[in-house]
Amino acid sequence: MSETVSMNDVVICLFGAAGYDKSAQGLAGAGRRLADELGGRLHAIVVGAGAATLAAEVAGVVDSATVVDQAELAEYHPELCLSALTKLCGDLSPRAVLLGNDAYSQELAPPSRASPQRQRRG
Amino acid sequence: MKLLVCLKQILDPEIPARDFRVDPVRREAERGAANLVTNIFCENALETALQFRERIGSGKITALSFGAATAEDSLRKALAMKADEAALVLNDGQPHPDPLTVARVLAAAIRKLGGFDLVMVGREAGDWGAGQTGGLLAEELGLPCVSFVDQIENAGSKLRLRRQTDTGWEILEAEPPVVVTITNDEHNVPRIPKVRDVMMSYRQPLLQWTLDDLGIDAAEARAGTTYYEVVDLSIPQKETRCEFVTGDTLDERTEAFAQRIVAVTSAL
Repeated sequence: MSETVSMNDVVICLFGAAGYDKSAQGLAGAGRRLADELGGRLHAIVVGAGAATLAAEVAGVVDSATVVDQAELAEYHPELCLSALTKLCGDLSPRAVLLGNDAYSQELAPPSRASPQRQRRG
Repeated sequence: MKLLVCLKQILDPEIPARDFRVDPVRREAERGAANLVTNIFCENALETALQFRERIGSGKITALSFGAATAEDSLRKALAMKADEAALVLNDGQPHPDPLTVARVLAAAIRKLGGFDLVMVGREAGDWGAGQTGGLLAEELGLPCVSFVDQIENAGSKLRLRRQTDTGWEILEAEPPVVVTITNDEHNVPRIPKVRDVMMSYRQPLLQWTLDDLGIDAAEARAGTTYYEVVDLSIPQKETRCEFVTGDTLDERTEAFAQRIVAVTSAL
């Protein structure tokens, strides 16, 4: 799928291991509505084991997706996941990045908000 | 080991839904007849800290709150539950500051109180439910954060943390100092303090600081909108309508029903 994202686009971050569960479905729906309101496209970043399967499941809702499924991310590790998501979201520069109401997302959302500080501290 | 537990005082979230009102102008919940209580996940954090101290046989627990003067009640209750000391940062600004503002204030207070091995925060508050303060506090302090912890054990120089995920538990080891956000579990139901301890808690000293005492941008903290601003607040209005599909035969009615479902769901 295409990975070109523009200013009014929205990115959602999903975790392959969790599958297309209630949280992921809610996230995809909220992302779809927001992208439509902004007149942009909806892009999914899917991380970890099972990312390709989840990306296929969410394909009907999103316009494009990036699958991050290398071996180092097979098991959830907050620093690695945060690093991957921060880098990808930085490159894509969307209007908004949405994370779901699940344990991993709630752990990653605050430090991703504070990522400029994290980078300054090295 | 030095433990710090952050406590937030909120409106009792257990009031009946029919009594819950919001003030759309001030963009906050109306107090009404609701009591002020300590956020339950913060009490779970305090209970987890108390049990951990009991297991290791030593340690000092400090309770910290950033809030209105009434937050003293939450800290007095923490002292009655046998926290060793308590500190209150008085909020004389926006009554519901955003999580980043709260994290910055708490971080400044923690630095002023001195170093801690373990900083414990409830996983989210029962009023706004943002669930951001713990992670942001860790970032402000430059410490690692483990979220959704429900049990803490001593493991030599490290801590063994049990963390709830959506599908089970993860057992992690972390080297102090570390920030953890605490979730509820059958083992960390907050204890009920004895009446005598409640009375004694009001004789114990309580550290009190204003925002100006912390060496931070007090004006920014009073504004409370470092991160985001609530621009609208309302209670969702649920509308229920009942429709009967028509048709001469069961197949016609089934077809009409299916078409109606498609029409309704595609409009969502």
